[in-house]
Amino acid sequence: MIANIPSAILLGVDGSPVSVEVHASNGVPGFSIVGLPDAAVRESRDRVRAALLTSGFKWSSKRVTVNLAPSAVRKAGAALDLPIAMGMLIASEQIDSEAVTGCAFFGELGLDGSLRYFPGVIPLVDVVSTPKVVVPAVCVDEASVVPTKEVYGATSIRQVVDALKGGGGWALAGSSSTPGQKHEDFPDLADVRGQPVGRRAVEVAAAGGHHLLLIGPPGSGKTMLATRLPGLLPPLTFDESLSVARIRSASALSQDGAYLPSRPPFRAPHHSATAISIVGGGSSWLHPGEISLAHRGVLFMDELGEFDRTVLDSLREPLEEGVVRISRVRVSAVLPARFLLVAATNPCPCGEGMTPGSCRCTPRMRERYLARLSGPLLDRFDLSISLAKPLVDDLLCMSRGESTERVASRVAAARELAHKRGVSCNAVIPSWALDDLAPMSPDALALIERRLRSGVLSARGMDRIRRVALTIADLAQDGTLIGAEHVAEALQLRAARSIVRTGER
Amino acid sequence: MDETRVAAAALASLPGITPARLKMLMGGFDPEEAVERVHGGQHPADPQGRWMGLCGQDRMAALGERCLETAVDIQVFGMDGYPPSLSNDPIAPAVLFIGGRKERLGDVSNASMVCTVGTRAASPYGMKVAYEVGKELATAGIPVVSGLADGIDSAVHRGVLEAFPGEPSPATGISAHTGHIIHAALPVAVVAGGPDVAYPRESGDLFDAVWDAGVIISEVPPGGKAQRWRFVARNRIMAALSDVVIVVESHTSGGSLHTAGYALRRGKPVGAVPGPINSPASSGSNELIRSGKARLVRGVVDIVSLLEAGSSVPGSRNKSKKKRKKIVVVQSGGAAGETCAAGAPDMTVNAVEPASVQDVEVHKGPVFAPAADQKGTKANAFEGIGCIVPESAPATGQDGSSESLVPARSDGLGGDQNLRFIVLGQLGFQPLTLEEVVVLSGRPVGKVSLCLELLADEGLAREQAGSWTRR
Repeated sequence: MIANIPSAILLGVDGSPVSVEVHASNGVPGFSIVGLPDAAVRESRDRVRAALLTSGFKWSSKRVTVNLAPSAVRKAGAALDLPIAMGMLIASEQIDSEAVTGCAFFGELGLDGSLRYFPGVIPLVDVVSTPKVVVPAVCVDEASVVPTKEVYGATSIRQVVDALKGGGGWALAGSSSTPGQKHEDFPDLADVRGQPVGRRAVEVAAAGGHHLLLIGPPGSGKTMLATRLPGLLPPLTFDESLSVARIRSASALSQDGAYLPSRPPFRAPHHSATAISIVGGGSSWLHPGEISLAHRGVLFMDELGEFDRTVLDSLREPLEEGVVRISRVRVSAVLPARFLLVAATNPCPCGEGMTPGSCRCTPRMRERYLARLSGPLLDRFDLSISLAKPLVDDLLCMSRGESTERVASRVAAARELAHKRGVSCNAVIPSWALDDLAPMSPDALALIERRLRSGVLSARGMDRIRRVALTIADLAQDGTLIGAEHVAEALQLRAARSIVRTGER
Repeated sequence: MDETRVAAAALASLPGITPARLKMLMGGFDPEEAVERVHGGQHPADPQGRWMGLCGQDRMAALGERCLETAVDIQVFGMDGYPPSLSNDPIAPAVLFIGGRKERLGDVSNASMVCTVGTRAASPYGMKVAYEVGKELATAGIPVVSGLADGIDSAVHRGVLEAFPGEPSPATGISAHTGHIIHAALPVAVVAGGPDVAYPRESGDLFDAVWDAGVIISEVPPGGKAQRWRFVARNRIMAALSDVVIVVESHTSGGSLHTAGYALRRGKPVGAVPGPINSPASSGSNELIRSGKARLVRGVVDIVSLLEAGSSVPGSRNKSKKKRKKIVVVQSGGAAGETCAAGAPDMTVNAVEPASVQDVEVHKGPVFAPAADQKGTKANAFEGIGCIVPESAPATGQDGSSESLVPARSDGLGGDQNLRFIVLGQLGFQPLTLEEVVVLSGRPVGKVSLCLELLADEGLAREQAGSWTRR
């Protein structure tokens, strides 16, 4: 007797369909799994056997072969427990194969036959071709995010079999949890006292999707500003939200209930992070890294100068392309990684380098500290500003700054203008389209020309200045032309770059 | 190479030697005898024999070889060629190693020297001042001693090298007193490591330039590393060599304060360049001024009057045998103007005390500090050291005088002329970040940015590493 159960495995943030074929015949009793199973899959033999026996099923005394097709791809994860168990039940004729027609199965089995959570619910459910899927009850809500599938949940294999035989008894997607985080979940920009330039830079970064570098001594509010940036970004659209949900699901991060997030993600990896943990990878199924987890949101890298240089340089291509291509000998995957990078660094090891004279670092210590930030990486920051410690008066002042809500409404309006241009945000306008999309007033042209002539500005720098100036004009709702004021502000919001990289802007 | 000198050098290169121990080893014996006794464990100053067997012939030969190889001279206390200005010092170094153009050691040590030192973590202001002081003193033929360290020291040496790139020494003026031609003075450095060792290593280019053009002095044999305590010991030599010590910028715990302390204990005048009261880099030098230990120095003219005062202080070293250098101030042609004249009139040469003015002459020339030139040519506050003015003096922006200096412009600021004056008033020599300018002016970032960019275009403001200063 042969059974064929559709299921899938995880590869990066996507699923890859797998058919679980189970064959039982006369011969020496035995059980083997073929088709490149990894350790977790091979061990499913013991879990399946125990689960079936404790749930009151028989363990076949025939010779059983489980094949995971396609057999050339390595299979990882425990989500194949349930399909293997279902295959066994059909092969040993304990249930009818008709009962499972058009149904895909996912789930990890406990020894008592219970069904457990597995990572990658959304991409796996999405990839199978059957109209119906059966998943552990804890995954039902998450799986229901996929709009095209009928999702059935069960808490144990016994419940699955009973429901398949008699119908009913399924755990269905409830409205138990309301997806998404509310606006208040992010800290309010109004908490930031003083820091007019810092607040402004965060606003421009959010409005134009410009990567932002904050340079300042300890205690100047770099982290405070960065954590307020995601609150300024517009809510995710359904498609964006679904792509974020897939990534979160693939990293098993969605267990906290927010399956379809409406707010952009915010990730802040510690500076001891390895290159793999940042860009993604790993041997078994190419885990998404922090840059993918920050997809459509904000990646905040505090203490940029303390990250490994290899980690920092591995960000260069993803920053440019919005995806990261990970290749290993057997597998390769393209993971989405369109994020807004906010980085913070001290100007020197002692942190006081902004105030001339108070820094006790030697020039060589500074050089070594900043040498990790390669030119190409620094080039990708459209905005780089220096922050000073806030003034005492500002700290004691009881009046609060503008709230996140008000700034976010300006940001949304500016993004609206970018959408009308046909881009998601100004930062991704290609250079060749700048002349059409970002025309400049004669004043602004003259200012740019003077900066180009004096050598403070490079050609590439000019394009970045124009994009930022366009965003600033959008924020001001200033109509058609970029004015000198917008260009000057763009120049100033990029000026701190020369602290870490002497020379042109 | 002279056996006696090599013997003294051998003693100076013993492990764990200090200036005091070296003096004890050489006291009462001539160097060769001292070496023999040390080698044999017979020296009364080394009763435990810790250096026994360390002064063999092979070691001496190797040391002599090394000195020849690195072209380093050995000068021994009490022998010919030892700088007389050091001979009278209470803790004179027993042995000196001289690198660079060592044949000029006699000339420079006979001249009135100015020691200019400061912090390694200097502000742009301090670097600028140090550079100008070095350049103008050297131009006036006054040798400048410094320590070849980072920051102020390096700026001083660069300034000196600007005036004195190498032989032949450029003529910079004519002494009105004697009619002799004045030549620029060569750089002098006292280093804490061996005289052939560039420290910090990365400053090798500057070290080479000073080696080629000037004299490098050290207590440490060639190839020796600069230990921490050697820097303080080095400071005493700098103070002893020179007639005046000028501190350009120093933190409250800076090494330059040691140099100033050594000078004060020797009754030598100390000057300090004032800095902004809130600049940590100037905290030590400002304290020197406040406590009355140092005279306030606004430029080379003040240093010159300190030199004059130093030579007349009773009890100070008698330099009567020295041929006094003529001190000449060369005025840069037409580079003075109303900023200096209006902001700080007594900075001009005329204001130097009458007692010293006899030696100070004003010449028209290409390089020196701007003096009173009332023709009203465009002001350039940084043209010369003589023009370092208090920040509040030029163009505070609120009063009429600033308007004459900074003509109103109308482009681009949307009629906000006040902003222009407010921003100009805030900018000083202490760099301000954009953030600070925005906070102080209370205007939006965009307006302030445009204002700063326009000021930069007019040459009134300058941005460096994200911070803005007046220029």
